[in-house]
Amino acid sequence: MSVSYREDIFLAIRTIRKSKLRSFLTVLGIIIGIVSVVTIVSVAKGIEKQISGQINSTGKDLIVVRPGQLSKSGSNSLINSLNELSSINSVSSLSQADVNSVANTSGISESSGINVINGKITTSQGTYSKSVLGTSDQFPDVMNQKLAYGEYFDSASTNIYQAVIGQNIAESFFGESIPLGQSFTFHGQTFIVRGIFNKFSTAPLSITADYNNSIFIPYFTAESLTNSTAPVYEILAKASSANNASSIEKQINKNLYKLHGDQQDFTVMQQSQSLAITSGVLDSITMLIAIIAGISLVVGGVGIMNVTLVSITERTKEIGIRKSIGATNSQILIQFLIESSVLSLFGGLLGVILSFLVDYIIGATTSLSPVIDLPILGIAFLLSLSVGIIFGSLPAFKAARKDPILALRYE
Amino acid sequence: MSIIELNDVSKIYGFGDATTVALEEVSLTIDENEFIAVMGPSGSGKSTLMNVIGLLDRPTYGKYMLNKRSVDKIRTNRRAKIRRDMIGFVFQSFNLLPRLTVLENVALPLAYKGVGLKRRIKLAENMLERVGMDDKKYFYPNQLSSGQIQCVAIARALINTPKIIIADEPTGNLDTTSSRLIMELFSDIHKTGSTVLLVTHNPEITRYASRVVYMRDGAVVLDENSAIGDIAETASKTIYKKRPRKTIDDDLAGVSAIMDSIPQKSPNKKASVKKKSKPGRKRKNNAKRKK
Ligand SMILES: Nc1ncnc2c1ncn2[C@@H]1O[C@H](COP(=O)(O)OP(=O)(O)OP(=O)(O)O)[C@@H](O)[C@H]1O
Ligand SMILES: [Mg+2]
Repeated sequence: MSVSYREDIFLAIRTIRKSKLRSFLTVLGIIIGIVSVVTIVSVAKGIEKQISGQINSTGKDLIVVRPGQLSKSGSNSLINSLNELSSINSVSSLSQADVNSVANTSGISESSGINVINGKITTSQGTYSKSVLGTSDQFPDVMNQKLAYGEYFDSASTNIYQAVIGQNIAESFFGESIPLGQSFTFHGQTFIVRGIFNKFSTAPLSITADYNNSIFIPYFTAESLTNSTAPVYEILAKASSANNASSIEKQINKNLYKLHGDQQDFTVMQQSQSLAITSGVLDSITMLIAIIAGISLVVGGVGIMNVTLVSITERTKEIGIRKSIGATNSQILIQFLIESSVLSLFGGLLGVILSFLVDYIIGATTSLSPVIDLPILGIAFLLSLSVGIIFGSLPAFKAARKDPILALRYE
Repeated sequence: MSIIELNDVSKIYGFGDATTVALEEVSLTIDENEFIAVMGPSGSGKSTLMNVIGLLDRPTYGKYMLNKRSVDKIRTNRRAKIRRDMIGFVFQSFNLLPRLTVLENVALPLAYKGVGLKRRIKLAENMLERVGMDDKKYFYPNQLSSGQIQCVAIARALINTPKIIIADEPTGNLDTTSSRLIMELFSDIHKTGSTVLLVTHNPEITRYASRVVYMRDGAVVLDENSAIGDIAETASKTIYKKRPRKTIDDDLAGVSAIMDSIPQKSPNKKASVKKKSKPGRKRKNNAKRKK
């Protein structure tokens, strides 16, 4: 019995190779379906990988305090806040007192409030609208990040007009990759670039600001530029040991709760938690889109079913011959199931190849870096196989049940 | 020993007013290693009879014993397997699978049986050698002549060493030379002990047969033994001698000659049964005489 399967597979492949165009058109729906699903899942996987990279680089002991209460169930509010600095301004409820309270919590080794000033930056290259971040001098330690060139400011006091920039700013704002010593004006003051950060590992869709695209100035300089109206966007703190990060997190929350007059209008969490929320939301969104994309697989399946039905009518005589030489109904059934499956897998293969191409283009043109790994290939394989089997079974049953005499007589 | 035993087998097509009686109470006993030629006008039920005997079709009424066992109630799957192991079919239109090579076509029944690839190829090659087609084994059917295709079809029918070979007008589409070649093959098969049933319109072909069955309107109307090498008695009357058959009119004349020499089916059913049993006795006598 089983011996004829291999023949069936070879024959199916031979048929595809003989009628390439027809086979290609037949599986077009499958190709599109597989490309959509694989691309979506691989993009999501890429983002998740970047997120975990971000957690690893800053360390799990990073504690983040944010204004407003982050509801963990409402995915809507999360999506809106994704990667958007500007929206933070409107909900600010953190103050200098909060920053001090966090800094003075026992078990905190380094901390930094971060405030945000919007304004125009004028460099030798031109003028740009930009949000500038004010941080303490401990910011690099908090973030576990080193500078590529120069140094961070060693004090966050008022009258220091120095700046450190993220990697992506260098070229676009200053026209050179190491603009150390260059100056720009902001809020009427001239700042000197004294350092350039290494590349921060970032994740798209992350609720953390993209530090690679940020300009950093001393915290109190930022305060004085705006007469202390700059909103505190977040407070970052690092536990002296990762083990007690949770208890410190609770302690900070308790202190701030008191400070805010018993109001929980802020959120304290560890960086890993914050990213886990993003990744959780991402998972469900991915799932949803992938299912929608999968609908095109149904269309592809119907395409295969249609062509197989036609081909079974065309090959009625062949079925009659096979039965006359002793093929059982189930052997005919399996033959046609194998044919539709091989066809569908062929579509899946083309789809995967195309997905690599699409992902390459996405990776090259956006900040996303899609990942096609073995599980995704497995999904693609199983999806196309099941489409082939599901949509091939009706034609295959029809073929198997053909009356041998009538089939033999068919011209 | 009888290998095929039909008892009042009828086959009726269609429903209601539109029924066709393709076989009407056919009773026929065939012994092992007989070479039977089946003759009769078009539509007389020859192919239907072959299909019933070959388990491709089920009779509407009647009993069929194959190899001493009743096959009436056997399920479709089992019938396919019996067909595969016991019966080899050769048809008029050359039933090779166009997408398979000659070798693959011949080996296909073995694949359905579950024989391993190497052994399958070896057996198929041997069989192709036997029919003189081993040099064409990698050809596709559309690269072969009609006679060559029929040789391959015969090789395929023989690959499972079936007890019974059923050939429905195997030379119908062939010229005289190819026909002779094909018939020599059937003759060889017969000599190795197989039972051969062969439908033909060509009286010449009855030379190869040991027995000729004549059909008309779905019934066996005459059943006569025939010495191998000679044209059967009744069949010889149908030959339109002297004039070579060149035009369609000649062919038609040939057909009417057949019609004239084959007895009519009796309108009375009982009488027809009697009539059928009579040639049967005649046959037995002949057989004794031969021995
Ligand atoms: N599937 C079918 N449905 C209805 N009638 C059928 C069917 N198959 C055969 N018949 C009828 O049964 C009768 C016998 O047909 P059969 O094919 O057995 O004749 P035959 O002797 O083989 O003729 P030929 O010499 O032309 O091949 C014919 O009248 C035919 O029309
Ligand atoms: Mg016929």
